[in-house]
Amino acid sequence: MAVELAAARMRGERNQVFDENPVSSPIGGSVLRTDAIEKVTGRARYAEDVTMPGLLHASVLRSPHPHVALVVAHSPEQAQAGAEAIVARYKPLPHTFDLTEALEDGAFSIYGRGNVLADFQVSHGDLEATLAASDVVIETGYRTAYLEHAALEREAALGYVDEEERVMVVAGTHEPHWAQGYIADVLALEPSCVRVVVPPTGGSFGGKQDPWPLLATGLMVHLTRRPVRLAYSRQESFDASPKRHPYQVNYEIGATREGQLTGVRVRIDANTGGYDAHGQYIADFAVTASGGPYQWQAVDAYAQVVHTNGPKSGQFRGFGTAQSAFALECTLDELCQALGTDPLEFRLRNALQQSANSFLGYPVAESLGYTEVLEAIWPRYAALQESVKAFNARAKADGQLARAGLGLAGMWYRFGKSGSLRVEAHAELAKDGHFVVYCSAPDYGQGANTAMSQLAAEALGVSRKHVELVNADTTLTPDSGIQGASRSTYFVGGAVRQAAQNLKLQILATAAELLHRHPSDLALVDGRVVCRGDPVSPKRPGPWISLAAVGHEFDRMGKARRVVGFFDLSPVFPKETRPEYVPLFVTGAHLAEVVVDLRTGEVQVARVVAAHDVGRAVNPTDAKGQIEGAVLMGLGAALMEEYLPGASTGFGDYYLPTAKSMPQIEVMLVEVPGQYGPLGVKGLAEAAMLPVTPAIVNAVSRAIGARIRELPATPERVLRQVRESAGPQAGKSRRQRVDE
Amino acid sequence: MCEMGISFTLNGQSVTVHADPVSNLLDVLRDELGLTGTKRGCDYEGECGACTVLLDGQPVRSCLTPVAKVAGRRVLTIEGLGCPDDLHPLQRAFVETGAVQCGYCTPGMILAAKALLDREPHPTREQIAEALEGNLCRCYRLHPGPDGSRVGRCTHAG
Repeated sequence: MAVELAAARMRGERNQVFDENPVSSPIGGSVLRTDAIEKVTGRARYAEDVTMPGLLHASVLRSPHPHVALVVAHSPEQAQAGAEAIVARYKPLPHTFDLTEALEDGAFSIYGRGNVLADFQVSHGDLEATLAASDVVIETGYRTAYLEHAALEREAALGYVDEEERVMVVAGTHEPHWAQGYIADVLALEPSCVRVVVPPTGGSFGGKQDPWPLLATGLMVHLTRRPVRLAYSRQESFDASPKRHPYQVNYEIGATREGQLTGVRVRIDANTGGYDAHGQYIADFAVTASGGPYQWQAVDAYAQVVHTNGPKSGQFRGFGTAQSAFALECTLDELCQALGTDPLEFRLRNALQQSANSFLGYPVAESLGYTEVLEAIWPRYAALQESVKAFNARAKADGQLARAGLGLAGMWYRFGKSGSLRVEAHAELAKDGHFVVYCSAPDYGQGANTAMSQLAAEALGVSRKHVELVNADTTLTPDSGIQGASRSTYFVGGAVRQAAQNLKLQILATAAELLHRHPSDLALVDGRVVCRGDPVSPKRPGPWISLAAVGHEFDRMGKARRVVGFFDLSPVFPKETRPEYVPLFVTGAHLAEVVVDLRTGEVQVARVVAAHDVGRAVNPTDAKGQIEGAVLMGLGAALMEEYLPGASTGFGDYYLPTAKSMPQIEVMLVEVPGQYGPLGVKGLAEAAMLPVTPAIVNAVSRAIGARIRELPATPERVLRQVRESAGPQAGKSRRQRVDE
Repeated sequence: MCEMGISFTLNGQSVTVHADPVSNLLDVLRDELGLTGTKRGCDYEGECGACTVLLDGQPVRSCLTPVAKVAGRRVLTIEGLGCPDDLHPLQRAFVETGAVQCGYCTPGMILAAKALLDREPHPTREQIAEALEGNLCRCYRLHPGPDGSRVGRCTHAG
């Protein structure tokens, strides 16, 4: 759309306005990102863009066994030559990449204990009895692949000794304060002797949570006392960065013949590879996502995260939930087919209501808009069903070897899950009367900078250009907890808002004294405090005072210009009764319309309709952008992305969706306000990925009349299913018991 | 290493760099000339498009372009397209439509789009997708589809 808009303007069509109804409030409109102008003019300085006098370059020699060598040299070419000159002798040790092998009795153990890193279980109700009493029970097995984040910016870090003799590391990371702590540990320094700053970062999707590049850079700076740059090659990024956990998921799900869900048994095996890159937390999320926003009578769910010698698996957008959601929503689609039930009606019938016991055995804590989401998507569902039917009728009549399919999938996603329930931010009145906000919500492309500025500006009552944001610098900003799990807007935004409100109160109190008015008579506008209702004009100015003058009064009184704000959910969830992860969930549902070429197995995704409960759309353009981004990533996982250890080394052998892969995308932002988040917002960024892959796979499966059970659904796999479903083995892919 | 003086027009100005003629234009732009707006996304294999610049108006992979090849010719990088006070329509449109997320693919993407619009002022969606297919983007914000978005306000409290 940007290209079309520019083309129109370049043709001289001067009346092209992007937003016909620009919203004056900083919230809810389509507000320009704070950093976009720097990025479109090439001025944004990512870690690899910064050069310093005396900069050294680092190169890493890696092996599949423990220990690496770091080479530091005056130029990247010298560093590379240094790494190549090292001769390492390797002694092969027993190993396996296969999860099943790693779990066998007598399997060699990678860490001197069993190979299960972590597991998690949820069970309640009498599942055996429930399933035995069900009219239909189906059993399915689904498998997903390793995925590569493939952010466009390769991992890069710049390190140097700063003017306070601190070891300083500038790099993309999700939690600069944690990185600061790790570096301090490794170097045996006080944390205050280490500083981590997050620069403009070219995408992460979870991959840049790995602290390794920052640790290596900190080490090299500490030892050489010189500036050092470490930048992974693209192949290194493929080889060494963490991957998405591949899952094997097995379900048994029961229902009544009317379409009421009864019980579920699910077993998940996740391959976490050779190192724990946050894999220990995955089991809980795998299980939680495997139940979805549905009412269940009985549950027995278990996941184990298993070490093998494969690539380390770690954080990846969705954090272990997308794989489970894929398997669940495809299994539910199979169940609907077994019951002869419409999949949307089925989900409405079984949708979880907030007060009821969830899959986890207790109610959720935040409003749950699943019914609203499903109702919102209904008209498009009905219309697309018709058009898919019409397409297939025409195709059959014309003898065309293509089939269309429409797939539906829902999801729930527990957001804000990791980190403290109490988050801190600061707001400050600067000398010239503008505002400075301090928080730690690293922005690696998901819009955290813009969201924080907007929330602060709205709370203060000023325009965004009067708000300066200092973000993600361990020396300058408080630790606002980890950014990830879609918690920034909810938690950090809440703290920013509170800090801004606290500062506003202080300003109005002081201005009230100076103007001899009551604080409730005053309002904060750009640059000044004015009386409400008084005309502010040069001819008849009402009493007012500049913010700069208020600031001077603060100094005279010894009042702090910088105040603290907290967003604190801990009173709402007292420690004694709080589950390990507070049950704040968002929901969504997607439709995917696909066309399958029956000769080649190629799938074209023509359209995706994405409906999400966002609580409140702080920045609708950004929300839509996040959802569109997630749709394309989910499409990649569905149809083309498969990281093969050792074989996938770059974009030439790992296939990413491109501009030509893009479907028409319709986004519906459903606002069911949250109870706790600032202005009712909820988290979004990761959740949007979850329904895409199952919606597409359901569509493909329906189009070809056979189930795809393994990701990605490459043309080869689709073609194999097309051929098998035509043969004598058709109909045997799913075990099913149906009581007459 | 053999170095030569290579003169060309860069963003409208004459420049001469002293470089090994087979060194690639991407590294020369970033390291010799300090223009870091052009990005490296892959291993000098021309696979991602983040290094795209315009050579005599045509999009090229600067990571695969020996600097000798630009002698006497015109090179345009993102820095030469416009600045914050004077944005090119493409830069402005990218900002306004929210097409900039992490921003790493953006310089290459904008220049590839410029090359398209300079030769085809009325591009179809298919032509746009074709022109931008070689610019990988992982945030996936730029889409040629219609903006059929709606915001539905529900009054349910929860």
